[in-house]
Amino acid sequence: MTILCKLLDIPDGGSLGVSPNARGRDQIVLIRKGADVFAYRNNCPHYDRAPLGWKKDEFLNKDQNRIMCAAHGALFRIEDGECVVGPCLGQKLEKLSVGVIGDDVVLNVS
Amino acid sequence: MRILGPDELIFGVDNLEASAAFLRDYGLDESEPGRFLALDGTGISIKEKHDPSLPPPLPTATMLRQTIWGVEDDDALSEIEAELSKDREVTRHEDGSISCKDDSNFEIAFRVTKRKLLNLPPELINSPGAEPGRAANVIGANEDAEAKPRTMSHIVFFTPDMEKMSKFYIERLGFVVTDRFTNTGPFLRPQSNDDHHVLFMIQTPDYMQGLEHVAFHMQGPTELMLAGSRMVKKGYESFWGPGRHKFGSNWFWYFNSPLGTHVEYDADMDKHDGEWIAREAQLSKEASQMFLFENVEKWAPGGPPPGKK
Repeated sequence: MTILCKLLDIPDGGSLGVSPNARGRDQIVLIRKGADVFAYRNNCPHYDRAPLGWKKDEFLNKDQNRIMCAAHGALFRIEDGECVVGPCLGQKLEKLSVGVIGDDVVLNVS
Repeated sequence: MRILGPDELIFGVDNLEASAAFLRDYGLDESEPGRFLALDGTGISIKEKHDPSLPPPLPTATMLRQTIWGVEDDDALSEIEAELSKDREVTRHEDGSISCKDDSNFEIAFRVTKRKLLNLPPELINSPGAEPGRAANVIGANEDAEAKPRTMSHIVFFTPDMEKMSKFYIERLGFVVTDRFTNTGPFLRPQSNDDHHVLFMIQTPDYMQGLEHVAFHMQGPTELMLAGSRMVKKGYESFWGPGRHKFGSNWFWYFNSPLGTHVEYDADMDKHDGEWIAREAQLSKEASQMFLFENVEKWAPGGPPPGKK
């Protein structure tokens, strides 16, 4: 179990990058809808080293109803990570298991 | 066909504000709301994706709506109009430009170029055995130097039929093949531009069709590093680079963007004339670049280990 951040660190309806690697690149994308948090590996299925956002913590389209890959505009459903339009059509982001315990967003809740 | 290269790209974007901020931070000048130009007047225009004045979208994720090619003069424009009118509808617009679709359904237009001739210094370096590039006391490492894209360099498309698309640009518009990646695509330059490439294409499934990246030329490798480092510092996502390509020899640094395409800085690309014989290589990591670096956080070596005197 790893604490990733506080629930309130993620703007409601918005996204946050967490777990930076040694190069400072966030490895996990979190999206919050009220009390629910969705987590994905920060990598587009298109390439093996393709981070999703265009800027720190910016991972969603303008309406905040899809995860957008800022490489070629692919859109992914927030709930299950499936690509609905774009280069990775039919493929999925790698979903991670997270939960909220108290104020904390926690990885690998069993 | 006397085509110079891409003059302007038109996008219908999802997030207008974020796209405008990106293009400003990338170094283009906003000449009017939504139009972002390099020093020579080439550039990118963005509108909200539902704006009715935009050319129609492709049914894919790409936000690119139209590529406007710059040609030398009115005669060059008429020549293209006559050629393309043979088998498709070509529309003349009030501003004198013409528009149609290419053979892969991309919206294209042609106009007498808006490129201004630039008269700017190159990157000046000191090299033993050669005349010094900078006079005594002129400093090379200027962190406050301006780093602005000088001109649009090239565009790269994902296309479902690379053969058909490259044939259109080669046979109908007179583009010249400079080099080729086997089974991927040719590097193309138009007849009035000696840059190694202004156009490259990559074969993909049809649901991927769109713009892979757009690149602008910087003064040189130092300016490229400076501009790219500033983007990283502002929190933008580096995708690939800095590094140096083999075909074209250009230095590169690619970034993700809210325009749904990679946007590249490039510098020091090869130039070619009619004597050049195109090379061919299998696309691979080795063939794609001579070297590749990655930006890391700044640090400095010191004397003793931390905590010792």
